[in-house]
Amino acid sequence: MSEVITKLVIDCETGIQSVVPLTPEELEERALMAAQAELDRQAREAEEAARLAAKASAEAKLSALGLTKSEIAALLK
Amino acid sequence: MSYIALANITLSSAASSVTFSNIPTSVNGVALRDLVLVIDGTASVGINVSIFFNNDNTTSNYPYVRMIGNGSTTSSDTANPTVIGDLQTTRGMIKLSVMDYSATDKHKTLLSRFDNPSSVLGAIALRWANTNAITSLRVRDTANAATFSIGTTFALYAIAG
Amino acid sequence: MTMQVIQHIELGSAQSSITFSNIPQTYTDLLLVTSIRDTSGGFQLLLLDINGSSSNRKWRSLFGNGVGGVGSQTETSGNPANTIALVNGAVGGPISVVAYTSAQLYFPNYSGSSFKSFSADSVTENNSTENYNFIEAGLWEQNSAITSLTVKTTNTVAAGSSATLYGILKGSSGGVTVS
Repeated sequence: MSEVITKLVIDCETGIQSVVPLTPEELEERALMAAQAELDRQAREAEEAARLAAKASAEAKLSALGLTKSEIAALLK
Repeated sequence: MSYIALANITLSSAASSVTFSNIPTSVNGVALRDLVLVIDGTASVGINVSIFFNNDNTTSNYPYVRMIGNGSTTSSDTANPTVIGDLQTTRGMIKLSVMDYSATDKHKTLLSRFDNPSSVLGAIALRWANTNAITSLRVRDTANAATFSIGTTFALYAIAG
Repeated sequence: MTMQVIQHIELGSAQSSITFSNIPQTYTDLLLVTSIRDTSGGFQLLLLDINGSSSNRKWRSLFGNGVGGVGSQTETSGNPANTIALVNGAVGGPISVVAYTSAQLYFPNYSGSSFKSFSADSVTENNSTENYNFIEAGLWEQNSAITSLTVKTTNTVAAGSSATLYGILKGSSGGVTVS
């Protein structure tokens, strides 16, 4: 049996908490959102990795040119 | 009771400034420690909003540091003392806290968040270089030219401690 | 009393969302404080529906991640219109421990008859070098009063996540005058 995905609703007037299964439309919306979010997450992590790699490469090249660590740090600040 | 409503106003006409006066250091025997000011609304044009305590209008007494984003770029500056945030012609808000406002042995520090969903948002840390207890605060357009619009609300709270 | 708890919930099991419905209209402002984690790995999104809808939203964000990544986005940046923040997911990728994201949302004049502002602040502290401090300026472009708030994440809100809704009531005391 597949897992039933539910949402929690709290009625602020009465305090009654209800666990409600999602409708087919809500399930479809969740699936679409999750798929897009996964792509966005991968893109975000790839962008961050590329940025860090470019920064490391730049620091290595500056060092090869003879700049000291403190000079590189001041330049990149 | 630790969170106490002190005063509030909803503008029924445009106003160049809003002043909260006679701010006490205690209410019903409960000592008050921090202030919270919430501004929600708009201005006649996009403005920086300044704050002044106890009629001290010397801008150099209000150094600040700001971080700001506009939806694509970010920046940080210390260029505009007295400023607590922005208000625009589209709805936005400013929420700030003043720590230890009733103390008489320290400068007063303020943390502000300003939020304009169609323009800029950010955070500010500001210091009032004065050891007096805060008894009044006034907010206005930094350039002293524009007005807060009708319907804009200002609410002042105190936190006991 | 100026600030009161309206409702508080801590999840005993994972749920797709947490909804505060039938919010009383007797306060001035709302404060929603959450401690949230998603069940999927890595950083995920924290989302907010107002009155059951993710539409009619404008937002602008400012964030930093502790490893040199800073940025500012809007609702047109590619994230969903109801994005509020990033949250910790399960252990994996940049997430090294089980940790919940703290997020706080403030809604002034939530029961008024004009568009609704809100302010959001969050942090994803998870004991690793990459974390997000994420602030957002939000606007719900509807004149209706806010009667429900739904908090959800990209996938599923993990067990142990909690949310507390406070009501704040403006008033006068202490002889303060305003002009």
